[in-house]
Amino acid sequence: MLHKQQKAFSNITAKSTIVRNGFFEKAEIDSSKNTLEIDGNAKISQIDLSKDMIIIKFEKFADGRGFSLAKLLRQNGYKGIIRAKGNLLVDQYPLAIRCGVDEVEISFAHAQHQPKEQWREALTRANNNYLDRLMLA
Amino acid sequence: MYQYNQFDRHFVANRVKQFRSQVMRRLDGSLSEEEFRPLRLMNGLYLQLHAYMLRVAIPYGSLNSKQMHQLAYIANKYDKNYAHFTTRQNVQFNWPKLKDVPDILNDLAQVDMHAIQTSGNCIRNVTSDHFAGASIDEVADPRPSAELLRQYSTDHPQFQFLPRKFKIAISGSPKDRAVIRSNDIGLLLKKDKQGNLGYEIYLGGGLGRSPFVGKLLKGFLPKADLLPYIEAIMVVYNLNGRRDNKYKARIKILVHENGIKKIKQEIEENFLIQKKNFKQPSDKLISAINERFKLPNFKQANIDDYKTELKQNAQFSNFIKNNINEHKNKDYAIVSVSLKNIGETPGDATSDQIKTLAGLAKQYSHDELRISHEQNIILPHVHKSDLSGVFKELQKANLATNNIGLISDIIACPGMDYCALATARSIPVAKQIAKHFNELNLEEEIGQLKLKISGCINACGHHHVGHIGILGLEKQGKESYQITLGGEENLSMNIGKRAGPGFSSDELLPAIKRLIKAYLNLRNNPDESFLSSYKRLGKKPFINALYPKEEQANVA
Repeated sequence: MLHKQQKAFSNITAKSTIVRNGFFEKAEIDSSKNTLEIDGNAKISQIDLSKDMIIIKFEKFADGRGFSLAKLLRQNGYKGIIRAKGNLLVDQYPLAIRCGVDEVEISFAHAQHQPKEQWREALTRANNNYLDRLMLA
Repeated sequence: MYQYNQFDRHFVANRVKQFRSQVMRRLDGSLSEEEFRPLRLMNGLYLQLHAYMLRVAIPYGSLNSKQMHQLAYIANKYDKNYAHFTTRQNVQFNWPKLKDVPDILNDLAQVDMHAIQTSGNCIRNVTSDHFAGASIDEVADPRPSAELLRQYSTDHPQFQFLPRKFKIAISGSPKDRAVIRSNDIGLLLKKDKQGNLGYEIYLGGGLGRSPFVGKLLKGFLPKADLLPYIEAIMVVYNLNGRRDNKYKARIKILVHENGIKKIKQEIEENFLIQKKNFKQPSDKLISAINERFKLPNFKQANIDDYKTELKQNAQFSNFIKNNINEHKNKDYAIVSVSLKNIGETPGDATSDQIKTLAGLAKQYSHDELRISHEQNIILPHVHKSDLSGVFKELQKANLATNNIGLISDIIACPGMDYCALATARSIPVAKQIAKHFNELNLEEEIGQLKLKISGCINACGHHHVGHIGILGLEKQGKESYQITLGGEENLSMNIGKRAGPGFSSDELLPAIKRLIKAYLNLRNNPDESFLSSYKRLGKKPFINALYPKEEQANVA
C-alpha cells in the first residue's frame, strides 16, 4: 500500500492540497510570489535567501534530508515561507513543523488517504517534545 | 539511576496510546502490513522468522529492580517465560502476540520503559560501559552524558529518517568496555590538562558487512559543546550519507569514501552554525540529570567473614576470581552474572532468573542492575560482606556460572533459530563449543578468550572483534562457518582476519579444538592469553593448526 501511495504522491499535478495549521486549503498559484524550489541535493550556501517562499521537495517519505534543509534555512536567517512538497506522511507533519516548515503541499490522492482530521491531530504532537524541553527548561 | 519525571511519563504514555490505535487498525484490516511496518518499527516491533519480536530499550544498560521485575512479569504473561538480553544492552521478547503488544508497552510504561527508537533509521539506544558508576578505573560516570543524549535524540525532528540507523556509545573509562570504536559515534570521557571534563570523539566505526574501526574525529571536545557537536555530525550525515544503497548508507561509508579530514571539515563548519543557534540545556536540567546518578550511600561492614570464606570455599573463590571486578569503594565489588550457563542460549534468562536478579539487586546492589554488551547481567554495587549470600542465591537460580571472559562466555546472535536475516545457526554452535571445553575442564586453562559468533554477515554477534570470530554463512544450501582471528575490542580495536575457507557445521568444533590446542602448545606461559600469543607469533601457526597439511591435500 505504501508503494502505491508513493506513486500517487510523486505524481503531483496542479491538483494538490496545501496543509496550513492543520487545515486543508486549495493550492493557489500566486504569481506575485517569488519562489524557489529545491530538492534534497540542494547546497545551503547556494540558496538565494531573498525569495518569498522556498519549496523543499520530499521525493520519498523515508528521505529525511528536507528536515535538515528546512532547519538550516532557518538557522541561516531565512524568514520567508518554507513549504514541504510531495511525499510527506501525516506522521511526519509535526517533525516538519518543528524544523521550521510552514506548510505542506500534498496531492489530492494523498489528501484523501490521509484526511484533514489526521493532520490536525498530528499537529498537536508538534509541541511538548524533548528537544524543546532540553533547550528551554 | 535516572528516574522519569512527568514529562517522560507523559511522552511514553502518549506513544502507547498512539500505537494501540495503530495495532487496532492493523488487526481490523484497515492498515496493511506494508503500511503498518514503519509504524511498528518506530515502536521496536519486528517481524521475525516465526513471530513478532519486541525490542525494549534499556537506556545505557542501566535498570532498577522494579523494572527488572516487570521484565520477568512480561516474559511470563505474554511470552514463553524467558527474555533475551542483547549485545546493544536491550532486551528482546521473541514470541509476543500482536494483539498483546500495546498491553506490553503499557506495562513497560508503568516502570518507565519503552521500545521507542529501538528500530528504524534513527539514533538508537545509546550504549555505555556496563560498569558505569561503579568501576575504579573510570574518569567520570558516562551515564549523565548518555541520558542527555537520550533526551536529545528521542523524537528529534530532523533525525527520524536518516540514511540508515545510527549508534552512539560512550565510555567513561580508558578501558572502554563499551567498544566505542565499533559505533557510528564513539565518545570517551576524559580530562584536559586543567582537569576539565570533555570527550574524545571517534567517527565511522561499525561492524556488519563492511567493518571499520572508528576514526579519531576530535581529541578533546569541552563537555558543554556535546549537543551542538553531535547535532553538527548528524546534520552532515543526514544531508550527505548515501541513500542509493542500503548497504552503503551508514556513516562509516561516508567517512571511508570522503576521508575523515573532509568530513571533519564539514562537521566543524556546521558546528559553528550550531554553536551560534543552539540553546544550551539549563544548569538546572543538567544538575537534575546528574542528581539521578549520584553514588549510592555505601554501607560500612566488616569483611573478615568474606576473607575467611574465600580461603575455605573453593567454589566461591573460583566465582570471585572470574566474576568480580574492582569497585570504586574498596569494600565493594562489581558482580558479573553470566547468562552463559553451559548448554543454554547465550543472553537468555527465564522469568524466575530475572526475578532472582531483581531481588538480589534490591537487597544487595543498591537497587541497581546493568546489562552488558556481552549479554551478561551486572550487580554493580555489592558489599564484599554480602558476596557469599549473593553467590548462594545465584547458585540456587542456576546463575552462578563462573566463566566471565572465558571461552564459554560467548557472544552469539540469535541466528537461524529466530532471525529472518540469518544464514546459519549460531546458538547451537555456541552451546556446542561451550559444552566441549567445559566438559574437558579446560576453560580456566585456556584463560581469557573472547569467542564471538554471528549467524550472518550483518555481524550482530560481533565476530569481527572476537579474538576468535565465527561467521555462519550459507554455501550451496549448507551452513559454512568462517573463522576470523585476532579481532580485538576496546580502544585498540582491531578487525579479525579471515583465516581461510569455511568449515561445515560438523567440521567446526574439531577446527576450534585444533586452534586451541595449538595455542596451548605455543604460548610462552599460562599467563599469555590467546590474543597475546597471536600478536606475538602472527597468524601462521594458528592457520596451520586450522588447516593441517593432510586436510589441505584432501581439499586439493
